[in-house]
Amino acid sequence: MNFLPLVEAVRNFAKNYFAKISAETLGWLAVILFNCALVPTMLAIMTGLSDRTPSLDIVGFLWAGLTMLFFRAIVLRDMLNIITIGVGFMVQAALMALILFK
Amino acid sequence: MEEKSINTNQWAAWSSHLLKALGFWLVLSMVVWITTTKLDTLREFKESLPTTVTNIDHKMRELDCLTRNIYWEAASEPFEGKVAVAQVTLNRVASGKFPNTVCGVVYQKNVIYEKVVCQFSWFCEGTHKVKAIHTPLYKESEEVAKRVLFEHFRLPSLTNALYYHADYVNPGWKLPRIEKIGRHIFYGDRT
Repeated sequence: MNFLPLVEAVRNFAKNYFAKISAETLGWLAVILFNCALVPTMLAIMTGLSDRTPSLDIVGFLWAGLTMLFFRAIVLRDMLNIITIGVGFMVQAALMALILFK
Repeated sequence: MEEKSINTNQWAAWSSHLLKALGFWLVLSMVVWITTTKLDTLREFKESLPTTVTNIDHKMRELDCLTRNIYWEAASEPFEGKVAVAQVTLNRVASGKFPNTVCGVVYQKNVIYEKVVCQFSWFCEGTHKVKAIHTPLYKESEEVAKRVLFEHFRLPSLTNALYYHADYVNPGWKLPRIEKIGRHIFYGDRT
């Protein structure tokens, strides 16, 4: 049995597609991580285990960065990132509202 | 050739989905792990705190009760006289024979032969309801209360003092007399 064509196909696949796929996926995962950055602290506040809110400069930079990524996704018409960042914003805003107005 | 390309594109799409799902699961696990670790650490820290830790509201309430007691009992007394009243209040809290809170001691009432008697007479007499507060003296009382409550300022001679009365009354107590400060005579407990 000749495995050479299969090996060649895998190699071509990795060369032509994998780099793009993984870069795209890593970017998306980074966006999720940015969105989750404040979640542990906000949950700690909501459960009454801590009264320390995340510092305003960190929140500011993080949200500014996410907004940039959101506009980038809009420009590129990247629906996955648009939805991810949009949902992330909504969840964060809901948590913040619960903390501030509860 | 076209079929092969479609096949490869399908593979690429599947791989992309697979990689994203795997990455999403990894990221989600990491976020959950970090969050639970943080919450557990905070919970352990909170549980390790002694149960006697009081919050600021409680301390402020104690300060308010002690200030009122000093003011209505010893507003016209010298500094030592005010400290002495505050010290008796706190000695009672620590004694185990009286309520174990400052406000509890200040507002303590006893029923003797169907008559309600306050440990500090001003509260039962209602002096605080009919007399206006003299602000400078009230502020002075508050300062004394802060010193005694938060800075543990004490008069060494009154370490065991639990009772006192004004020098113009004679209740006939059979208690060991400690000292007279201003117009108040202080007593310890029966040994």
